Amino acid sequence: MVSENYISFDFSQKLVRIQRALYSYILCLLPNRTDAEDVLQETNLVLCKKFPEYDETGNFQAWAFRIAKFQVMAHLTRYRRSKICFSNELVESLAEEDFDQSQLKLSQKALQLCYEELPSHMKDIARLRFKDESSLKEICKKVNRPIGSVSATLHRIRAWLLQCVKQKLPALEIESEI
Amino acid sequence: MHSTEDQKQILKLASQLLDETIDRENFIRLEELLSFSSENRNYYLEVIRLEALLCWEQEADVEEITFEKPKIIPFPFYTAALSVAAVFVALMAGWWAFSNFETGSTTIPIELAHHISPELDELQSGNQIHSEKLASAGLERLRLPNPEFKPISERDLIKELRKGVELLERKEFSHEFGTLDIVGPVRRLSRIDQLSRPTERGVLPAVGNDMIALSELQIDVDSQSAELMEMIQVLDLRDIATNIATGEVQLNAEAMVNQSYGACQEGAEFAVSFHAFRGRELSQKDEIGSWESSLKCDIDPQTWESLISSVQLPLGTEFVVVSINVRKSGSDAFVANTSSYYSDEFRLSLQEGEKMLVRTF
Repeated sequence: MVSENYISFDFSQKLVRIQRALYSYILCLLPNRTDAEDVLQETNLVLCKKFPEYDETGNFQAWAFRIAKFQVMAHLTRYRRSKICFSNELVESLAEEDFDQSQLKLSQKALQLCYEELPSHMKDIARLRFKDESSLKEICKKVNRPIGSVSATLHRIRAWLLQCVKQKLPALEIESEI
Repeated sequence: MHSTEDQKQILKLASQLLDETIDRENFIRLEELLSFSSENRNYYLEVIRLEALLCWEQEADVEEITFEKPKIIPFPFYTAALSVAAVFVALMAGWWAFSNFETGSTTIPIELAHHISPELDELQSGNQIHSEKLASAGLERLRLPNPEFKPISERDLIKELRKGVELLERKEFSHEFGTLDIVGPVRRLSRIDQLSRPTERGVLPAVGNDMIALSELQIDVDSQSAELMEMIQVLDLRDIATNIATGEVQLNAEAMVNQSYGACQEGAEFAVSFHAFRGRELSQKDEIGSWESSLKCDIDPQTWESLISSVQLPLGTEFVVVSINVRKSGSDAFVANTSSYYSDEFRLSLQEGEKMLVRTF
């Protein structure tokens, strides 16, 4: 009889592979990076604790996302009074929308290409925000610009990247089918 | 168009939300837009997923790594005392067999007799051992039938222990844990052969054709840690009791350690540990000391790192268990077993002051 704390190799593999999708899913329901990272950690803990209940023939993503959703709800219940949060109804609606992991992979590839093509005046702020994880205040200090200006630039960066990814996706989809 | 306008608004407000600059009025507006239609919600999800991808670490795309399931059967974690006791029983059974051979007992299996070196007769308990004699005594290994190495639960272990004691009392020999041999005045049970593997998961032995492949780590979800204590050797030092009584006997260990590719962000912590016991029971109350030296390994499977450890054996030491421990903590603990862990060039030596009692073994 193996110890209760034993987690199988296959389970570890699945857990690793789903991290990006899980983080993405949690951020959609809880659009704050720090909170989403905390909930991701909590979700991983619960997934590991629930390993004995896991049905290997079942859909791992669906199971993991279900647990993640409950963790998000629990987090919202704890912090609803002190933070601006989506209502439970909206969180449920967002959670119900389809999540295609293969689409996420293709988007990642497209994003890598688009990120390299980002106009130079956007690159510094993109790097500070997304790679260095600097807060807006820290970015303002480093680039010596007011918060409204940095905020507007980040908005334009997101718009530019969204558009670019949308344009590149069809070609990448064809490539992946070949 | 209504939806294009909605999308423009959603992007602007979601951007403020992600940058934590949104005010309550705009947040309520965002909620309204998202509650309005599935189309709006899907667009919002596109925006957020892009953000998630931007924030996600891109250096190592874990999904691209192909994991090869390790071939070792995992050896589940159980208390050090019990595991040591189990090995001790096997050891005692084997040593009894050797001592009976010296007295000409007929209960020893024939295959044992063939393997015993004639020079064993010259080794007498309590004598000073000189290095030349050790060199000539050589190393005779007794390879006993070695059933497939398989995990054993705590309950089964106690059963094995009792079986071992019965076999001892019936003067029979049986073990499943390792290879028995005698090196100079030291009798030992070694698991190196049982743990040996050739190249595996992209890791080449540091030297020669094989290396020690350690078992899977035991993961503790609550403490976010993963740990393994892999017993490598158990030494019976009773024949050098008088040397140990001087308080100057030192046991030295060296090993090389490495790990394969996996999903961990950082390398594992490896350690060589010694546990000294007095008395054949090897229960916790018989433990008179334990020591450990550790190092943090890198995650490059091309490089082996060297671990060296020494311990001054305390007075009264009769048995020593030498183990290699592996540890991971934090989030890496959950994916600890996506890597495999190895050791090579595992060597022990015993010295009394400046004099070598047992050179590398």
